Amino acid sequence: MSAPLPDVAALTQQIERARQQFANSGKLLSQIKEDEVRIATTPKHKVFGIDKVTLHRYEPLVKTRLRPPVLIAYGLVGRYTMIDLQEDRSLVRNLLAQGVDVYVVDWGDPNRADRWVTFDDYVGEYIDACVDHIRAAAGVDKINLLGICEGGTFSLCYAALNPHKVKNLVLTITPVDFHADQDDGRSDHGFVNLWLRSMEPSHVQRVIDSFGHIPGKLMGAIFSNLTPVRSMTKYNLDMLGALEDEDKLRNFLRMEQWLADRPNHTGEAARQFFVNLYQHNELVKGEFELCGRKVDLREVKMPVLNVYAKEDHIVPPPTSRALGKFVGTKDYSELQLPGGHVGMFVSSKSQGIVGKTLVDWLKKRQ
Amino acid sequence: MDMFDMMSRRMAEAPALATLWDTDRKLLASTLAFGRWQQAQAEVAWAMDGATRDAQAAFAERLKERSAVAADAKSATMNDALDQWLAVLNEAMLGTMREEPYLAAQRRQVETGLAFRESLAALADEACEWFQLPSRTDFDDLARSVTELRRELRALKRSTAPAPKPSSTRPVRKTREAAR
Repeated sequence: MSAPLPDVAALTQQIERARQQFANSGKLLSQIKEDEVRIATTPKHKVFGIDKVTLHRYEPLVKTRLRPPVLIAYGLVGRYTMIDLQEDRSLVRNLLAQGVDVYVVDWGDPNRADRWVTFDDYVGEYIDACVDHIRAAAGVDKINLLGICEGGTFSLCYAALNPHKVKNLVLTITPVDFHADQDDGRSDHGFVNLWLRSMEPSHVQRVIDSFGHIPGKLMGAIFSNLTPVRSMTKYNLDMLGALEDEDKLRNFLRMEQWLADRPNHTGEAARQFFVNLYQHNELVKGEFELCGRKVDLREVKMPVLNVYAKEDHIVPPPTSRALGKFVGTKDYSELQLPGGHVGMFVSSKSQGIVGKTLVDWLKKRQ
Repeated sequence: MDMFDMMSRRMAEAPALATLWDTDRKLLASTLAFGRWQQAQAEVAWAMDGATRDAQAAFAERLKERSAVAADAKSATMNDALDQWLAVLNEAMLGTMREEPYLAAQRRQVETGLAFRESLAALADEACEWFQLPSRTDFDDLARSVTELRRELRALKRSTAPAPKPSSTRPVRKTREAAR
């Protein structure tokens, strides 16, 4: 809908209101301390470590009612703390409250020294070691694996290579067919896919040669460019809106804390992710090789739940939903959530749906 | 191109001499690379400016259409107008970011930015040599060796671990905690 500019008197009144709002909100902002907006506060403890990778187990909130345990693997493009942003918007708390035994893998802080760590290492060494630790600790043959974003791609590859160790596979906002963004028909979706296809593989290689990794700050800047207007209004109009309400402001600040904590992406693993997958789309072509083997998605024969976000501009829905065409399982389900890429984990509405659906789905396949 | 630019370019791009002006050439190459990067950044900014100009024209057109309706003019607020401007601007920017001229400018920006960083790395490597310090290249080589050694060590540990009993459901991998 279109609307014209207001008259001068109304405009003056609105400017005065905005000025007052700024003054009041400045006071509110100055009163909040960093401790009050801490993220990832659900108690957990380290149970295992390998290189820079740490496996944490969350303290149960109620008696464990669902087995086997769930291992959550986030990607390297962001930190796992997103799944536990705040008490009332925490996937982890949601699962714990329903009696799930939850583990999470933390990839640590990669730097130039980790340049040569590969996708193979993440899938074939680190996830495998974490899975084996959980199997041993819980005395089970198979565990439930939940992958998020790039961590979903890790998990999918792991499940294809080690189906005997994965009872159920849950993928959330996971890219699978990296060229399916072209089927989306949304002008605001799929810029990561488009821009990476527009680059030469040598560009990615030279970024890695130059930095030794893909810097978290560089990825943050790229993500900001995906939504140019939203990025322009973030620290003025949007923040002003958030400043009207203390809870909103705290949520805004928690999200800022998460965004500021974006780790670097290890170099070689980034080359495989961006060149082999984003540019060459090898995973769905059956050409992606890890640990000396081709990743054959037909080997994914365990039950699969694929969760995607309708408004996801980073991993457009068709790039996730393509999974159904390639996996070997007959027990494949999808869950569409409202909101965007991160909204799945920070929106209270989505949180309730994800937690409940996930636990119900797992219970039926216990 | 002025005389200084021409001389700099000639010096940086002319065939190298074995023992003469090597560092000067690297410095000049870096200066030129910086200039190219700045130019490429300006091209990307220019493409986005084009989107803003298109959005301004589209927004002005919409305002003109709506201002003819008196009822709409009365009920409008500053926020309405702002929201509408941002929506128009967003549409124009996203459209531009998909077009080949923008993508080409973006590729040049990446290409020239990398060339500039590489020219700095060449200078840094040379400085490390002067001051007898290990360079980034040395560090990368070392990091590669450590990563490969870790892999080999893990593979060795796995191959020497005792085989699991056939009836056991427990995995064979020893965790670090268990190994201690």
